[in-house]
Amino acid sequence: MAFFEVSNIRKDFGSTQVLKGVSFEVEKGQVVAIIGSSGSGKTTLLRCINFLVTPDVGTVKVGDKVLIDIPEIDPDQALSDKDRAKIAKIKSSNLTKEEIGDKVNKVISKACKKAKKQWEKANKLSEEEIRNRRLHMGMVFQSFNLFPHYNVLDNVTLAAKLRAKETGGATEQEIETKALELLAKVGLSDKVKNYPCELSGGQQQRVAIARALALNPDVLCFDEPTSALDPELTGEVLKVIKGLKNTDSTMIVVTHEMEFARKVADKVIYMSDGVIEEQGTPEEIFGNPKSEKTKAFLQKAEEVI
Amino acid sequence: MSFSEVTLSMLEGTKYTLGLFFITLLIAIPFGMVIAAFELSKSKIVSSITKGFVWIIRGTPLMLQLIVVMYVPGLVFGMPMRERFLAAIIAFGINYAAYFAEIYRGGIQSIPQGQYEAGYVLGFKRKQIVSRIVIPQVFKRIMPPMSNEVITLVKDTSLANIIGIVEIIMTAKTIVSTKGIIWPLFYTGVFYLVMSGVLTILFNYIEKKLDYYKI
Repeated sequence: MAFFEVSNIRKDFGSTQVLKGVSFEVEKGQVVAIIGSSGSGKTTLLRCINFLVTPDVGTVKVGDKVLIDIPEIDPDQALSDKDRAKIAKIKSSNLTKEEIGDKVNKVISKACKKAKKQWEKANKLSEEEIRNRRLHMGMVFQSFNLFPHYNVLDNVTLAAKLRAKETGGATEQEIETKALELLAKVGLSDKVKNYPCELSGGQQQRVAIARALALNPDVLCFDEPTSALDPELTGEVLKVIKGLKNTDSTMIVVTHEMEFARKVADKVIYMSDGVIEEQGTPEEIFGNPKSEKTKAFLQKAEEVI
Repeated sequence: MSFSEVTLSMLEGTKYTLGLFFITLLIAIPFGMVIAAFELSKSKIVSSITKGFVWIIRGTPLMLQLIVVMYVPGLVFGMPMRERFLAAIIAFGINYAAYFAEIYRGGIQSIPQGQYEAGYVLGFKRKQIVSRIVIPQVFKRIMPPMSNEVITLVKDTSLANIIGIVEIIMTAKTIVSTKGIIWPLFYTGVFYLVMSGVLTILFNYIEKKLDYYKI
């Protein structure tokens, strides 16, 4: 069993299927790069495993802890006797085949929605439980999302301090010492007292990385961490992420930086249209892609350069 | 009537102006928060009713609202409003609460979703996100429009003379009509300028204090 397992994640937004059953595994300490064109569902996938979006179906496990487990609704079980009677009545009516099909589907999807609501009601997690579960995961956003009214050190320590106030554990001193270590690691020891508005984008993103690391997540996710940065600032952020690779952090990086995926990742996942089209080592994906779609995507990515 | 006599009686009127000003703030600042919360409510019914209420309050003249609060209880319910000052406070309190509510709502909605998300992924409680992340930023954002609105309130208090509150303008008008001199009416401007000047300095100070970060 792998350290981090995602299976069969599905998510619809209205009538668009954004994720159509995504499964992958990550070993402890591995870096996984997720590549793919915009709209392929990469970001939604990260948001699902970070509890920012609730998937319709899917399971996420880290270690032996189940974080998300949303079963599929079986239409057979969702249908009540009344629904069945309704379907029988529709079928015996003298409508065209298509009309019958439409109407039957409507009844089924309505029953499924109802069953889903019931399941959600019965399995609703407390705020406390959701918080505990999501702390297994860490997230670094494309737009950094630092708290502008706190200085760099407070940005990194705030969550841990609030947590410690509730549950005991580390003292403020310990939390600060650790935060300073992390800030040194991302190369920002001299900016501890600065406010985010005084930092460059690259520096802000490095603070965001330190902030996420401060809570010791089992898996750290990056959502296009360099997409909002100038090319010259991209390097400093990627270097930090690369540096983390040797510290046993398990990371999932959604990225458009092909060079980064090729050189740093242990595993590359190519997503297209809400499914994983192909996954493998960087050598396999970049050197010898099997899927036509992957080939086309990589070719396009090369062309840009 | 000498200059000092006029000044003294106008200072008497200033008491009512300032009283109305401070009590209105005391009511409108918290009441506006309640209205803003209702406006942002997830319940469509609650938010539409509140929005309708805000529309009525902002869509009609404050002077009319003063008259309604003053005379409608007596005309319609047979319970005449006995305290003119109370009527003024009710009308001003509700009116300004509606304006403040719109400012609060704008401030809250201007905080990017990413701030909430960052809080969530760091394991904050919803309450902590609101109190530690959202409200401090909203506070900074609403300062300029609030200062505008508060300075407007100082001048709006003069509307209370329509229901017979003896504030600065009313005092001056009385002097004008009883003593046959016109200048006290113009002199009122000095009183308003001093009050709004103090408020301007105060708000500039607060805004400067909050200038250590940018949103």
